[in-house]
Amino acid sequence: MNELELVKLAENPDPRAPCLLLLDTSASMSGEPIKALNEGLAAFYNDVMKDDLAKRRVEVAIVTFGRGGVSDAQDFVTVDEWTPPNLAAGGSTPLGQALENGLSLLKKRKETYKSAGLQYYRPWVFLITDGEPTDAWEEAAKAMKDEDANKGLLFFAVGVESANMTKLSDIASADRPPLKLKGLQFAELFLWLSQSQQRVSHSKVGDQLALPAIGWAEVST
Amino acid sequence: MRKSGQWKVVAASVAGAAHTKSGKGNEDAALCASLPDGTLILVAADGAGSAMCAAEGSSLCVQGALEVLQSHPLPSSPEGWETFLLELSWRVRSGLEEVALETDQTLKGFASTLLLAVVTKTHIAALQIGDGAIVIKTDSSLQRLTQPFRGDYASETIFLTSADFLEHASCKVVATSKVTAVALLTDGLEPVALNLAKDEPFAPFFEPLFSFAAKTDDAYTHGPELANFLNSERIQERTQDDKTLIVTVK
Repeated sequence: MNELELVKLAENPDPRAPCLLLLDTSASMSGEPIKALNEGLAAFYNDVMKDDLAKRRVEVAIVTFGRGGVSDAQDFVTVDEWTPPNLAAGGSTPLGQALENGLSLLKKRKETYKSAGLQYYRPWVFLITDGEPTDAWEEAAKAMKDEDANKGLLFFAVGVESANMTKLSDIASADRPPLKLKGLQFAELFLWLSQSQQRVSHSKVGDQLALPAIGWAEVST
Repeated sequence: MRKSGQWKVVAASVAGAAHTKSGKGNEDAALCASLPDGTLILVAADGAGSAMCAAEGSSLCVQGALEVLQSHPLPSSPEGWETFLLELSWRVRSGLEEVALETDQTLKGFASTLLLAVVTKTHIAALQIGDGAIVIKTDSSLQRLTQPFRGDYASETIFLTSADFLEHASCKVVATSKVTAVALLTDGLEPVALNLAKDEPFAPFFEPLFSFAAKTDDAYTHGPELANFLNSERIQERTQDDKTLIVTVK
C-alpha cells in the first residue's frame, strides 16, 4: 500500500485580490467612450476567466460617478461570480464622493476578510475619468493617497480624452502620476489590468511584482 | 542519503507549474546531510520569484548553512544554539553578499527564505527566516517548531537578504527525546499542508508522510516517489509554486 495515496490535502479558501474600479459615467462619456468602457470591462472578465486560479481570487467592485450621481454599482465579488455591467452615461462628475464610497467599500471588505479568516493581497484601486471633479474632492483624495502611502492599497489614476490631467495629478499619488489613455483603448487597459491581477493572484508579496508593459497609455515627455 | 543514527529521511524538491510555464526552473533548494557524529542536517530554501538569481540564491543558502555546520563546533545548550543559528544566518548572508559583489549583482538578486533543522542526539535546533514551515511531532501533538514571518497581506514574506531579517528570524530548540518526527516545507505546500486560518499543521497530511518515511531504507529509492507525489495532479491543481518537502522520522 502506498502511504502517499493516503495523504490528505488541507482545504483552504483562496486568498483574494481585491480590485476596485472607480468609473466616470458622466455625460461626456456618452456614445463611443462608454461603449468602449463597457467593452473593456467585458474584455477584463473574459481574460481573467481564462485563469483558473485568478478567477477565484480576483474580486471586482465598481463605483460609478456620473449618471445618477455616485453608485456602488458592484460590491466586491469574485470574477467567476461576476457579470460585467452595461453602464450608461449622463450627469456630472462627483469624483470626490466616488473616492469616498470606494474607500468605504474597501474598508468593509477588509473587515469581512478578517472576520472570515481570508488572506488577501494589497488591493488595487483604478480611477478612470474623462473630465474633472464637479464636487469637493480634496479630502477624499488625501484619504486615498494616505492609504496608498501606508500600503493599504495601490492607487492608479487614468485620464481619458479631455480629462484634466493637471487636476488628476493632484488627485493621484506623487509616486504614481496619472496616465493618459491612448484614444479609447479601454480593452487594452483592462487586458493589462487582467494580466496584472493574474500576476498578483499568483504572487508572493515582499517580492517586487513585475507588471506587464503598459502599452495603453501615452508616454509622458 | 543513508539513515543517520536512528532517523530515516526522505526529501524531494520540484519546480511548480507556474515556474515551468514561464521558463524558470526550480527556485527552491533542499539539502540533507549528516555529520560524522551522526548529527542530521536538513535545509530548505525558497528563492524569491522576482530575484534575478533566485535559484542561485536558494542554492547558496543551503550550501552556506551546511558549510557553517561542518566547519564549526556545535553548541550543546539551547542558548548556545540560538546564538549559533543567528550567527549562521549572518555568515550565510555574507556569503550571498560576496557572490553578489563578485558577479556584479545586487544582494536582492539572491533573495531567498531559509529553513534549517539540526538534529543532534540531544537537541533539535531550528531556524526559520521567511515563510514555509518546520513542523515537529511529539507524543501529544503536531506543531510548528519555528514561526514564519507574517505580514498584512497574503504570501507576504521576508528573505535572508532583507535588511530586517534578524528581527524576524525565528529560532527554536527542543529536546530530541521529545520528538518523533520532523518535516520542513517551503510555502508552495502551505495551502495543502496547513490549516491556514488557524495556521496549524494539517495532521492528515503529515501522518501518512511520516509512515511513508518510516518505511524508507534508502532515501535514493523513495525520494523520487515523494517527488512524483509533489508533481501529482491533485497537488498541482492546488498549488503551482515550487515545492520542497523534507521528512524525517525516528
